Amino acid sequence: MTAAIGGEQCIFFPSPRSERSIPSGWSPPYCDSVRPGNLANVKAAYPLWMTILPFSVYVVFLVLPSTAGFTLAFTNWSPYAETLRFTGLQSFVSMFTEKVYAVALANTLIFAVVTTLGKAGLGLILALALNTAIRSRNLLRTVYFYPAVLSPLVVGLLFSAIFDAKAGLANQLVAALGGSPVSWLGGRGTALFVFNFGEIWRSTGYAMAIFLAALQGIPVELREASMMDGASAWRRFHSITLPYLMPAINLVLLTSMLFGLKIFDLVYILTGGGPGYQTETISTLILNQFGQDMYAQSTATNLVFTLILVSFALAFQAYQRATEVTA
Amino acid sequence: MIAQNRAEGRIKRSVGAVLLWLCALVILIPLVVVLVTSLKSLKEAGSLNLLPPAAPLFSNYVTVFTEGRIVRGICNSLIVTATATVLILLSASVLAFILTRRRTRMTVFMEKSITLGLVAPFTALPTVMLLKTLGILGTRGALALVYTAMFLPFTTMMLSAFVKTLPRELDEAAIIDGCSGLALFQRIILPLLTTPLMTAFVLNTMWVWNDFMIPLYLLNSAARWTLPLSVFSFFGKYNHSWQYICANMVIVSAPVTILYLAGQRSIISGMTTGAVKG
Repeated sequence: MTAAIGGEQCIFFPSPRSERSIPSGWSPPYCDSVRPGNLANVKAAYPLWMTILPFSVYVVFLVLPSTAGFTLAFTNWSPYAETLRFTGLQSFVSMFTEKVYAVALANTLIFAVVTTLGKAGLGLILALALNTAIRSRNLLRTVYFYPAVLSPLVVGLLFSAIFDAKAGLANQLVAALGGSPVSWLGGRGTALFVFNFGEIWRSTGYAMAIFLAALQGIPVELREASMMDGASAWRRFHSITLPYLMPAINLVLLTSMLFGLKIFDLVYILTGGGPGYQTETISTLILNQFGQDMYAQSTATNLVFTLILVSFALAFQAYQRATEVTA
Repeated sequence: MIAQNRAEGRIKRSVGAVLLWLCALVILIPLVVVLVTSLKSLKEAGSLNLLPPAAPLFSNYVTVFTEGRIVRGICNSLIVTATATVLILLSASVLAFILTRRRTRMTVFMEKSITLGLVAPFTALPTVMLLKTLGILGTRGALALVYTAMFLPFTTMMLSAFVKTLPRELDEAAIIDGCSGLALFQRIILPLLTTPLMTAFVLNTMWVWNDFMIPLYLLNSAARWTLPLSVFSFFGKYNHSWQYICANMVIVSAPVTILYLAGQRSIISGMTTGAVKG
């Protein structure tokens, strides 16, 4: 399946198979009186003025701040600055000298990669298990998907309870196993573990549902034929299931990487980026810099963040072209 | 032989189910802990566990409702979510219709710029600056407009993929009958978009209703806080009174849970097929 972000087609919505075989500019041969190729006619039927209002909402509230708005990163903008002055790259210099940026970037990347692999891996295992004629599979699906409908805020509160140093369930488990209580959210390593655990807990069911939908699209005849030909279980998975799953796998990888890179709620509720800046992620850093009145720096961080996301999406597009050529 | 195979299959299926239920405990245990804790006294809630409360205290819920400003939060969230969702669905379907049917240099450019919005993150401070300049910072309307711009790209692309599958002959027949532009959209295209619009409705409602970050930047007056902000501020105030925090979680999650249990098939497919189906 073709895919492009910034192109005509998009990974989320591959165009249907039938449409792809029709060359562009094609029109049914029998309607000579109204030719879609005739530009004057098309223009009258699909007037551009209809798009003006919706498109200007998009331009004013999204395009404008994320293009023109970023010039503020190159100024001395803060609540104390009486006049805005152009300061060049000054807001960006601290990115290389202050450790908080490196920590935030590392935390964000770790979170995005670990949760993506966790969700995709566990989701795939669950989907394969629940795609068989197992007992009570419908109820199991309901249970596994349920956390995905909870808000990330509620999941954050839930895990702040479970991993609370004093009252939490986790430390009772640790105590039962003979360990001493852990201050889960008080250190970088354990806090990152809690973030990842929370997000995998919340979204594995969602990945599972996407994989299940894809698995149900595999023609039964293919499976039966391969079994008759004596293909082993691994061979069947590798040669039939996996190719059919590839678009779904790529979709889960892309959406959960993007979600992971943007992570905010969970981290902000569990630690707020602390202690110090140990558990800061890019999104919480932008907010915390705003809270510390570092307006220009916050905007600079936001600009770099946008560039990271856009380049990730472009890189993913190239990867996807390489993995989905055959479809 | 066949009987033996069948028995083996049955055992396998049961063993698999038992294993999967054991794994499901990871999901179920935290949920049950929250449910029982929400009915406990302060002393009992000092240590979270699965034990039932000595005497269920429903007064916890009353406290949360009054102290947590739940009703106010729900009203604000309803206003913002309804406005934003209606605006998103209307704008996206108009854009999807015109941009896929009218292929000129202009519309292709518009479509490309909308696709870029799929990955762009929220540009926090420039947006604050913009709304301040326009004099609408802190209003629920401004928040709804920002959501509209944020979630418009996804819904537009989703609907575009659907409009592309509608045969052009349909439009042509309508045009011959003298129906074009807005009328063509209203009478022919929009009714055919019902299914993807339902999916878009489910997704956008959930995204806007659950969003916590954007109102944190854009709403300063507590009177206009959406539900997530009310919940968060309650959490800050009653930090270690877990019985209240748990009751708050139950209240906030109850509507979505009821909807999920009532219509899970359409919710699951709405949340997944919107992304998968081509």
